[in-house]
Amino acid sequence: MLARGDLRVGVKVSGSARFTGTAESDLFSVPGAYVAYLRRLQITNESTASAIVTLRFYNGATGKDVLTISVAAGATVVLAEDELPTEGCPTRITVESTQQPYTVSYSVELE
Amino acid sequence: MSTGGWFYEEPFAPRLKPREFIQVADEHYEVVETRPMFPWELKLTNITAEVDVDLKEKGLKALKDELLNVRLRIQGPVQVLFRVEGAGGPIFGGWGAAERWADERTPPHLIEFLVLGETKGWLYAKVRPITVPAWLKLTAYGYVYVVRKTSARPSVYAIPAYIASTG
Repeated sequence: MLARGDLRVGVKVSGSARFTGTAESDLFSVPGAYVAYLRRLQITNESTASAIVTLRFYNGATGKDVLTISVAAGATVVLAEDELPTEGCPTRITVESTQQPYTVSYSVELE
Repeated sequence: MSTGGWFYEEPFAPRLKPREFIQVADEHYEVVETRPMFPWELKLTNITAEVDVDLKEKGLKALKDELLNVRLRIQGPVQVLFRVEGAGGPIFGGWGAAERWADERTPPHLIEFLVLGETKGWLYAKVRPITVPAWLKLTAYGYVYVVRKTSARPSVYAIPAYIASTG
């Protein structure tokens, strides 16, 4: 909805993290005045059992589950575009899984 | 009163060039210099109830002898009511007077304001969460016109909306 010449393109940031625990862990902290929009998410379940992975967006100190997905043992799931939450995240993004180890790669756009 | 096609149009070019004139609060000003404004950003998190924000206190203000021409962009699950303060003229208020709310869908060219110095047209926002807790990112960008008050009445001058035409 923005006009040509207006500010509209965010800063692209990507990263990857391997988690060896099932507890909630930080995936990405949103810097300064930016808001993060998740553009791509890849989850690899390296365990021998199916995992339920939960993605949580923090707004200040309050977290909200925005995505819960089942990943089969040894499988990789890639989410993009319409499969990801459209709302921005103002503070930090965390992940939690019922199985470990697992690897999460992400691309976010900071606006 | 015509606004001379100043508002509701895209893209965003400077409204005033040096040696042009504008009337604000019954005073005429000559533009001395036009330059881009350094973007201003505000992020509020964990909004659980309606909150009032004085944007001047948050740094969205003009210096003395400067006219700020800003467009605002709203991001986040909130509704925002913008109110023009310190104006007091017959067309004071704009959206504020009409109690109109803007949100993330509102294009920035419909949320454009002028702020003169620290006393005329400064902005005040009422933020209402759509979901709880909500967050808001507000971005302002635009132009700074360095102005000089003139005693003579120029033959051609602009009268903008959303800022006082009389004091």
